Amino acid sequence: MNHSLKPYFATARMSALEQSYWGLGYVIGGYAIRALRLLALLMLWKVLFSQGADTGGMTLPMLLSYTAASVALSELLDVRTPASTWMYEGSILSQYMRPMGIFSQLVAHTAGNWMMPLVLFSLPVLVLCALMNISVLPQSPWFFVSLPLSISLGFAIDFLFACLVIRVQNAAWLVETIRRGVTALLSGAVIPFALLPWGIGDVLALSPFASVAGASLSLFSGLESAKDVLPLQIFWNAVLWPLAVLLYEKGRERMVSHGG
Amino acid sequence: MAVEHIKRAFRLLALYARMDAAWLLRDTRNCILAVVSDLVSNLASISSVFLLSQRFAGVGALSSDEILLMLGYSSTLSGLFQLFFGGGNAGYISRRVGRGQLDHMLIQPLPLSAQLLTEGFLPVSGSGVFVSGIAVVAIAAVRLNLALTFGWVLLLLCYLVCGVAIVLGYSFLAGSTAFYRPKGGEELSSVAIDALFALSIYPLSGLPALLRGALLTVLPTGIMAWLPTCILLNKTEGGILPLLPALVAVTLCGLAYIFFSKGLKHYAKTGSSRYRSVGHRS
Repeated sequence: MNHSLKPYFATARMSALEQSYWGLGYVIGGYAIRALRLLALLMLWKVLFSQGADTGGMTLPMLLSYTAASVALSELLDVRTPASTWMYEGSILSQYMRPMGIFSQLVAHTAGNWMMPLVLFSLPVLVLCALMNISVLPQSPWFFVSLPLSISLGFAIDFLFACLVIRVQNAAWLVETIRRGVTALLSGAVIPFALLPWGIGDVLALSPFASVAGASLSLFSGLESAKDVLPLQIFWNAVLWPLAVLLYEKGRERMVSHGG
Repeated sequence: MAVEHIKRAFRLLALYARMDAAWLLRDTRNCILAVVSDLVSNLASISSVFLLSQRFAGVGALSSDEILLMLGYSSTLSGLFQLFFGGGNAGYISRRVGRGQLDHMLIQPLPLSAQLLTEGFLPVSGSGVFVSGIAVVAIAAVRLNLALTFGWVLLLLCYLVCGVAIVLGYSFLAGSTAFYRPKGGEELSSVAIDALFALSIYPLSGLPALLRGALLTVLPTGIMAWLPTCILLNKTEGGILPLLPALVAVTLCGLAYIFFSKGLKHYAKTGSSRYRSVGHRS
């Protein structure tokens, strides 16, 4: 292993192991609820399609594949670093004492957090969906380009929300509430834009939140082509990353830590 | 004795109402931000299903206006819970337990139940979702030409109270784990509450009977909006279904009481030490 990368892998490994400290009940319980939610959504789509409405070119297999991927890859399509929590709890101070950049620590920590859900939840869900005749293979190879762009953009957006947490003096719960609402509607993770009425989906698809989840899922399910999705993802990455770095650098001086 | 308890409860509710109003007066920007963020988040989460119902001219057995009533009901219930149990994590009990903050309550000269039932009251900062929910219910009722009789409103209130009891029961049942695993169980109440409300905005009509049964009992998310709405719209077959919210509420609250009491006994021996000397949580 490259020596300079060792601290980052060690951080990710530490973070992955930390997940197991939460106990089996917490982990399995949370996964069971997510699986139940997926099952209910899959059934709901079948009911809706049986009503025979215009679905904007989206077929039922596409929608089932979209939903399965959305739930299985939810950690990657809605990046949550511990930045806001660390600020709220005050533990961000100890991160500054480490010989690593704060962004790289957060990325390594978050990547470590993904390991357990990817192995214990995503993989079994995808296998079960395949057994239910739901396509769990990407319909376009460009998905493998789009997914890293989604993840990268997800980090940028998370850092921007962390900047907002600094601005509202560590009211992380307040920012989380706003974020949840905005993400639920604008990301297209739960309900694909193609299913929204009055052309609303066409407008929402232009937002950076859509480039995080909806874009990759559209490629995965074969709803959109790469030329419709990738340029926008690259654009938002190019705009939001510099903005996130700039605002964080400015906001860092305002950071106050009281402890949670 | 009972009258004294009720009087004390109202005195405490008034006290927390004053404290909540003081937040608005002393930190106006953040307080307004909190109300607005709750409102935006709630409207955004229900609008996706409403838009879906518009596109498909209803979902399952419910028309788009009936879906609107269901979404309004879900918001009202969520708002009612936030209004009475949103403050100080009173409803999210695993946080209090897991963070070792139950100690702060145990040294108060008040029974734990009296504190838990009153200290979450947020009539100023926590009323946004409730008010918006009521507004959505009113709009849906007008569009549906519903005859709002005294009995109908009473039934609505009864189901809302059952709904809040179910959320509390689920939260305390899951939150009891935090007595044994303070850090691991710290967020279990919010996981349980989120699980209940996440699916509450979807109608369960047309789902296979087994799955629908599970969503009305094991994870009673169907009681959070869909079933009461169907009953209020006279769209159920009757039988035990109108009583199901009350039955589930009593069962969950009973189980929560048993497990929380057991956990409390364990806590009395072990406690929870999560704070460092500098005040930060481990």
